[in-house]
Amino acid sequence: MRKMKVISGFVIGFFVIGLMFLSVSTPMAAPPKGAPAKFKVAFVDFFSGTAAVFGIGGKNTSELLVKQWNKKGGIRGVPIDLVVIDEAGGPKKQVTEFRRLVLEEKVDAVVGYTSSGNSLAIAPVADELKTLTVIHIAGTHQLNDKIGKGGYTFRTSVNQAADSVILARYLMKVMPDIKSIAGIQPDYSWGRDSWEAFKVAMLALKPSIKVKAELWPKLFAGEYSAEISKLMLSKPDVIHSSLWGGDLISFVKQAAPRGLFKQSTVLLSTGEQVLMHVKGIMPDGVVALPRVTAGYFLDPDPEMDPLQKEFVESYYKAYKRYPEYTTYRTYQAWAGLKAAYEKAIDILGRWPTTEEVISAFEDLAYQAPGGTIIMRSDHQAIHGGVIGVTKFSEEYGFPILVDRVRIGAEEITPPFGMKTMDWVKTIK
Amino acid sequence: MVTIIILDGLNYAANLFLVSVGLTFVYGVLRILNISHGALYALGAYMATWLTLLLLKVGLPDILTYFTLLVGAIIIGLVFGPLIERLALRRIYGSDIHIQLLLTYSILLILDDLMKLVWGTDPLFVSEPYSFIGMFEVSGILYPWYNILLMGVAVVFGSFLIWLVRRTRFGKIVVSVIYDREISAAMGVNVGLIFTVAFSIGAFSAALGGAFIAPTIAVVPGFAIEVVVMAFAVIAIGGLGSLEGAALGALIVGLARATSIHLFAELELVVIYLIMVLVLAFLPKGLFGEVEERRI
Repeated sequence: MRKMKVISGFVIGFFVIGLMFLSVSTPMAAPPKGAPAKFKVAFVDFFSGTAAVFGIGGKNTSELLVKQWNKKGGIRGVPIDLVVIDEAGGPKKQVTEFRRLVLEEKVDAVVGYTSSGNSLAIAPVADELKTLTVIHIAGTHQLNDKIGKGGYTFRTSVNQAADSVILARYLMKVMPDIKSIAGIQPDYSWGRDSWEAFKVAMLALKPSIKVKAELWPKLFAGEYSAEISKLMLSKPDVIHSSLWGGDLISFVKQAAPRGLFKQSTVLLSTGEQVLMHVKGIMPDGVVALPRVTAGYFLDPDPEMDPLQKEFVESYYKAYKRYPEYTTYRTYQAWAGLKAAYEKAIDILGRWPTTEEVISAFEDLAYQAPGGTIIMRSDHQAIHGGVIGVTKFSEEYGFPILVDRVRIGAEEITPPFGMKTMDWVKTIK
Repeated sequence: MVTIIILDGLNYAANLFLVSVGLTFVYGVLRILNISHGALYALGAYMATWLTLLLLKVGLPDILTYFTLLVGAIIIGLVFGPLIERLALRRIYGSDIHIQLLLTYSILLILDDLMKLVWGTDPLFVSEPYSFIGMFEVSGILYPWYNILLMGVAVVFGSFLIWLVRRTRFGKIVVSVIYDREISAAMGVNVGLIFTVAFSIGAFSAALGGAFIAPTIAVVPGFAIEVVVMAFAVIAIGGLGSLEGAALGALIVGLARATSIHLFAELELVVIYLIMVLVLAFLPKGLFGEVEERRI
């Protein structure tokens, strides 16, 4: 009996070792016919100046994904070669940089652009140079006019109006009796557009809403005492703010001790991004969201979603922090690019031309850690978003979002072919 | 409401004065329009915040954080003042203003990168000095005592600088050096040393502004650039190089901004530059621009 066990042990052992050999010696799938030796992609985001808070997460994600995917054979056996470029310097510089990337560095595709101004300047040049460009963060709805009729540019996250509409929808679900609102926004296009979409959406959903204050501090003002006094004196039920990064932290630092967050419900459209930094200064009960982004590091639950688990764990292992919205949006862009190439290769049985990839990208549904992203034929992706309320977590050492609600793409995105603000005015 | 507007206005004026005092001092004393002022202001904020956080970690009582803010500013003044003056500015005294602007702008860029290298890009902030002295109630809302403390720091420091330049032997020597370098040297004044000390005081002034404003904000790369643009507006209104002008300019801008926020919020940004345009249209050298030949 014992001899039998030893023999069967040997047999299993040999079988396992054999399998290991097999897996080691099996070459990765051969690249498709006509494939280049490497697939060169530029990632463009801010790594200097105040907007560097956006770029670092994006760069980390790009490097992590390229490394992980290359280990598994890149895109159908073709390794990805990553070039990282700083987005600072304004649209003129970025257009020159884009031309250099395409003409001199010979990149096959470009991923990136956080600034709306830069994205608007790049889209026509991408068409001119016939270079596939995937916009990962820039939110202006004006970009839809430039990319909506085909061309070489895609946007893999919903536009900025969704960040405001999702908050309006959420408010009507959790505070249907709300009577008044106020806003404090940085005085440039992002702040102006955010507030306009929020105010219009609130008035569409509840026409009796009163607007008690609209405040416009200068971008990077840092000092908000007078604005906070005004908000405290006007006592709105809800305060909406699109302040971000250091400005948002400064605002919270000055407003929280004065009791503003106790007096009114505060909504922060980019609040999630600062939570890991603010530690104890963010009060509990603030409504915050990672803009409209399909993923949050606790949602979907990593234990229930293998892709989310792999991303959160590997990102934390590599950078000792959890992914936030810029990282998820970067993932959405890279995953879209990869899925489009793979779909085209699978259909054609060879390496595709850029135009063939564009056809494959249109109407493509693909997976990202936050769920399914659908790329419409107008080159605008749609997906839902997660929204929650801050609560300090002893486990993580910073506030996390609890009581999370998911709101679907259909509630926050205009129907195909409809202009964004025309739609916001008519939402019900 | 009026009380709140005045308080908010004075608070913003104190902020503006602390941001612009170093800039106007260096121009008044050395005749250098120091673009790197913004970086020195940011360095003060970074050093003070970093030092305070470090000492809080090892058990520093909250009350001593005000002291560490001051020490942070002194360190920056002592290290970067002599360094910048000896290595760079010394070579361009009397040069064309374009050279001054290019050189000091280059220093700003170098220091900006240095800060990123040392402190990274994550926000750095300390709240203890702001929260330690608590709040008081006025017109039914809470107001931070720290804002009042900032007003105090602005008044005391501004008075100190005026006293230093006007009433001390050092001030008189500085005046003589600015007036005529060669004769001062012939009279036995160590001209080089006076320039170094004077610029270091200017660097300390910039850093002090950053250090004491830091507890109310998040210190992030590039945060000082926009603030310093405002400082230029203030000293243009007050008159380049005039400490009293900077104080009055800050007061006017602070009160006008607070009034517009409370009554016509759309005009918050416009009102500051509107005042500057109006002042410069009628008094091209600013409010205190022509009161004295030497402005400090």
